[in-house]
Order: sequence, then structure tokens, then C-alpha cells
Amino acid sequence: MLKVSNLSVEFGNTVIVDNISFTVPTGETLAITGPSGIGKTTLLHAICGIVRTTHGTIHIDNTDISSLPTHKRGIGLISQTGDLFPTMTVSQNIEFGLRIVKMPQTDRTTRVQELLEMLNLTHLAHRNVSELSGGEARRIALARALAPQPQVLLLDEPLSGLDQNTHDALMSDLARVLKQTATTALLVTHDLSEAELLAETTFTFPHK
Amino acid sequence: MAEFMERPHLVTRTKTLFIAPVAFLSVFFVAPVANSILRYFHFSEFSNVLGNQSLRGVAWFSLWQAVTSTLLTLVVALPATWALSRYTFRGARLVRGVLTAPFVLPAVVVAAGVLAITDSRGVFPILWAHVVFNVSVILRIVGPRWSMVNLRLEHAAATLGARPSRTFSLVVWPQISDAVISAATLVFIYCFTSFGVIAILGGVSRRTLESEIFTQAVRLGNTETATALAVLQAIIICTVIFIARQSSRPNSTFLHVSAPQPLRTKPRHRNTPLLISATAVVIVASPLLATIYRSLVVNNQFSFSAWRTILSGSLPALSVSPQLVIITSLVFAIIAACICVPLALLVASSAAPRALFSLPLAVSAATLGIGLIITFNTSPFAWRSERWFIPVIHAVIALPLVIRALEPATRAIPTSLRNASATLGASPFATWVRVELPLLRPALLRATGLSMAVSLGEFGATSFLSRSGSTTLPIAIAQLLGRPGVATQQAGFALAALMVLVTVGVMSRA
Repeated sequence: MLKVSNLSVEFGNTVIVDNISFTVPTGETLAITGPSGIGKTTLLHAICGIVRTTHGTIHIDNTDISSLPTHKRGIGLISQTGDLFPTMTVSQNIEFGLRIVKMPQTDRTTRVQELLEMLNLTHLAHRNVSELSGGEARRIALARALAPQPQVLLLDEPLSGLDQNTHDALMSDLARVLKQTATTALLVTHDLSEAELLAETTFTFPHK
Repeated sequence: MAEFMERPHLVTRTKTLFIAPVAFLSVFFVAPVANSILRYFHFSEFSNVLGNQSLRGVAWFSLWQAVTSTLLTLVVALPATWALSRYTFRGARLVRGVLTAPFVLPAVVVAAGVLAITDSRGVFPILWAHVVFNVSVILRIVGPRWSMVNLRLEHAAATLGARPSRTFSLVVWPQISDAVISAATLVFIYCFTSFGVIAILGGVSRRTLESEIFTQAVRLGNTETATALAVLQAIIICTVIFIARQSSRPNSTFLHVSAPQPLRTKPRHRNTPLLISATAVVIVASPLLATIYRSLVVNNQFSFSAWRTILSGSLPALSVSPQLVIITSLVFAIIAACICVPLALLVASSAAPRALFSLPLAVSAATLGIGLIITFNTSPFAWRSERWFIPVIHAVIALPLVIRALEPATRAIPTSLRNASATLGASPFATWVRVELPLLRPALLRATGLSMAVSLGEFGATSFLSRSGSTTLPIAIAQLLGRPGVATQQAGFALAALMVLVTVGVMSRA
């Protein structure tokens, strides 16, 4: 379970996120909607520790993670662009988080294969990431984020900028994978249809 | 909002690592220079220098020849940088090697090559020699940045109706301007503190502050006047660096790496990069070829005797064998790179202020040399005669350049990749090792080449420290070219030609 309580983020004198609170039950997805530029991405970055919070706390299963550095929070993030590592192949990208936790090579290979199959990406395993299409890159980013089995997955408009067919296919895959893996997730989107399909509940970001 | 985010840099997280480059520079640069200034600088002498019409003329000539040299260098180098960053063609690697090689050559070699062609001294040969030297600075600093500018953005501008000139000014220039300003600043400083070129091509009437510092300190023994001139020189350089930094906007936007394109099929487009490259090569390579020619031809007779001498023989004019000189220079270059590149990487990867690391640029080699022999002359720091001391000082001199060579690449790494790595569980150190270093590999190779190049070509400070067992190639070449005798001179040109050939080969791979 992810619990965010009275979270605020300020940059200098500018309040970006103001006193936000919500809870996401384990295995469920909460969609955060609202217009562009309102602070949705900053909220996600604050939750995973990339941005320092001004006030408030973040708990995962009753453990306060507010003061932990990003790499110790156990929270995965999929950004709008995927942010695949350009010097690595598809497989190397996916196994990155597993190498960090020093998982044995055989287990890593098995896990990577499992994710590639889950997302129908097996044929791309050894491809350079610069050769991927937009939709393929998003799928790889999803596989990479799921590989270390994060306690919470943050999805920052993972379907934006895709053509309709790719968007629909990836949305359907995302819904399936989130359900299959029972991942606790937070989805930022301004598309209400995405929110309806992917999330159990929706939280509308308050206007400043 | 991404702009406001904290950047979990390795060095900002572990600030202790930043102590290493600060300590290194403090011991081997700040201390000796401060020591020489504290002991020999007097305001009364500084006023005398400012009031002296002859010395004011020297300062004015230093300034305007440096500005003109910088502008001419940009005129030759920027189009060539565009051609080599944007296009691949047969011979491009060789062109790059030819254009970047002069930077590592001793000033005396390039100056002698220009003199061999112009057969006269004065402003034009000085400007030409400076252009020959400094094209590589632009190429090495602006090239990596320009090659990262996403071609698709230029295509987008073109499809929106922008002419090539508008595309350049609105799309490309904002992304490369900080690298160009940074490189142009360096070129100005090199021209402003040029010594070897002025000594050979300036004759008696053209003197710069650097040559005057040497004359006052070494020939006239007037250390106070030399120190006052050095301070004046440093003030001018610091002013230029300050103005440059104010006008340079660090570009933190990630530039998707754009691979060089093959030459286009349309003849107009096909010929332009080739013509530009060829023009730059003629301007830069002709003095180098003149050097090679002089190593092979004596009294209109073709001969390999000088080459045989430097590769297997000995020379009475040198106290050590030419082969030992070559090996010494290479070992020094490797040691200097091993010290310089890691320190530069720590600085370039950090968000800490780096004004301190520009200081070696603001102080001339002669000023540093005087400081070194004064400071490291007594126990327990009597290091001035130690062999290891020379590559350490080479690393000091190379450090600001290597930092500048690495900075555009470190800045181009998007924060979002570091964030992605962190959310996958990687600590800042793991992110640095696994994500950032692989991305920096090409820039690190270039930085290593640049560091080695500086070490191989360094002449000013080395001349204060070199002993018979630690003679480097530039020192040996200057010694040989400064002695009478056709065979000795030709051996000097052969060593210089060897440097030309080896560096063209090495730099084209870096």
C-alpha cells in the first residue's frame, strides 16, 4: 500500500504541489488526472525521491520512506520518454535493475526472458535501443521497470505521443501486465479513457 | 519543472572526491604561482609598467594579434568542424588527424614550418601559425557538441520554411554556442600567451607580454618587472574568461546523439564539406609538410640520414639519445593523462564551482615555470629535478583543457537517465559507473588524446624543469634547431616531422 500524506513541493517561493494526500491499496492502480503543467510529474518525482519534498510523508506498507534516497525506495518510474540507456541493448536495459541487486546471471536471464515474453518483445532482445520504435521503447521501459519487482510503480503518461493503434495496443498490454503482476501503481494521465481502463480509482489533481 | 530538479551527481553526493583535484591544483599550481607573486610583485613596479609606453605597446600588440588570430581561427575552423561533425567521407579521419595534430606540436616546429613557406617574419606569419595551432581547439571542443545536435531538429526547421542560415542561427547555434564561446576563449588565451611562435616569427619588433616576461626574467634578470607583466597578463585573461562565462549559457537540455551522415548525393551538397575540409587542410598542413620536406632535403639533395640518426643513432648536440627522448616523452604523456583525465572527470561531473580550474589558463607557462623553480627548490619539497615532476606539471597545464573537453559531454547526459537509473535501485556511484561512464567513453578517449597531446607538445614550463635525463621532444627539437650545422638542424626537423606523423596517426584515432 502506498500512502501519501500532506505532501508539498516548493521550488524557491513557488508552490508546485500543495498538501496532497491519497492512498493506493496494494495491487491497485490510482490514476492522477489534471491539465498539463499542474505538477503531476513533480508529484511522482517527489514520491520516488528525485525531487525533495517540503512537507508531508510517504509510506509504503506502513514504512516511512520519505527520507530515503531514490535508489533505496523500491519505487519504479516510467517516464514519458522511456529513458532507455542508449549504450545498452534491450536485454541489458531490462536486466539493469537486476544487476544492481546482484541477482545471479541465470536468474537474470530467466527473468528478462519472462518479461520479454510477457510483453511480446522476444525478437527485440539483442536490439540496440536506438533502433526501436516509440511503442517498442515504451514496452521495454515497462519491462525494465517491472524487472526488479518494485513495491510501487509510477507511470508518467506512459502512452502519450503514440499513434492510436500503438496507444491502444500498449494500453491493453499495460492493463494486462499490471493485473498479472498485481503491481501497486500510480498513473499520471490527462486521458480519462486511460484512467478508466487502467485504474481502480481516479484522483483529480487540485487546481492551484 | 525538470530544470528545478536536484541532480544526484556522484560528486555532489560525495564531495570528498572533489578535494582531490582542488588539492592537486593547490599544491602544483596555486602555491608556486602565489609564492612567486608574493615574493616579487610590487605595486610601484606595476605602475611603472603601466606608464611605460614601450610596454603598453607590447600589451596592445598582444591583445589585437590574439583577437585577430581568434577570429581567423574561427573562420577556418568552424566550417571544417561542421563538415567533420556532420558528414562521413573517405579520408575524413585523416583530415581530422591533420587538423588536430598541430596542437601537440611544439610552437617552434610550426613557426619554423610557416617561416619555411613565407620566408619572412611579421604579423601575417604569426597569425597563420596561430591558426594552424588552434583549429584543433575548435574542432575538439565544438565537434563533439555539434555532432550531438539532433539532425531531425534541423529537418523540422527546414520543413517549417527556414533557410539554412536561419536554421543555423535559430536551431543549431543555441545548442553549440556555449562550446564555441568556450573554445574561442581558449584560442584567445593561447594566442595571447604565445611564446614560441612570437620568438621565431616576431623578429625584434613584434613582442608579446609572454616573450617580454621571459626576456625580463631570464635575459635581463628583472624578476620584479617580469612579475608585474605576468600580473597584467593574468588580469587581461581573467577579464576575457569572465566575459566569456557571462555570455555562455550552459545548455542542460539533452541533445540526442546524431550520427554523422554520409555525403549527400546532390553535387552541391556533396562538394561543400569536401571543399571546406580541403581548404582547412591546405592552411594547416602546408607548414607541417614544409617541416617534413626540410627533414628529407638538404641542399636540394634527398636524404634519409637525419631519420636514420634519430631512430638508431646519436647526436652530439643532445646529451641523450634521440630514442630515449622519444620514449621519455611518451611515458610522460601517459603518466600525465593518467593523472589529468580522472581529475578532470571529477570536476566536469560535479556541480561545484570550477573557476579555480581555469586559473592555469590565466597564468602563462613562463610565470608558472618561475614559480616552480622558486618553490620546489628546497627540502622537503625539492622536486624540481625529479623526473616525475614534469608529467605532473603537464597534467596541471592540461587540466583546464581536459575539463572543457569533457564538460559538454557530461552536460549532455540527461538528468532523466540518472533518475531512471536511481529508480531501478542504482546508487549515484553505480549510476556513474554503469550509465554515465559508458556514455562518456568517446569524450574520455578524446580527453585522453588531448591530455597526451598537451604533454607531448608542452614547451614553456618544461624548459624550466628539464634535465639531461628527462629531455622531452619539444626541448630536444628546440635544442637541435637552435644549434648551427646542417646535420643538427636536419635532425631537429626529422624529430619534428616524426612528431607530425605520429600525432596525426594518434590523434586521428582518439
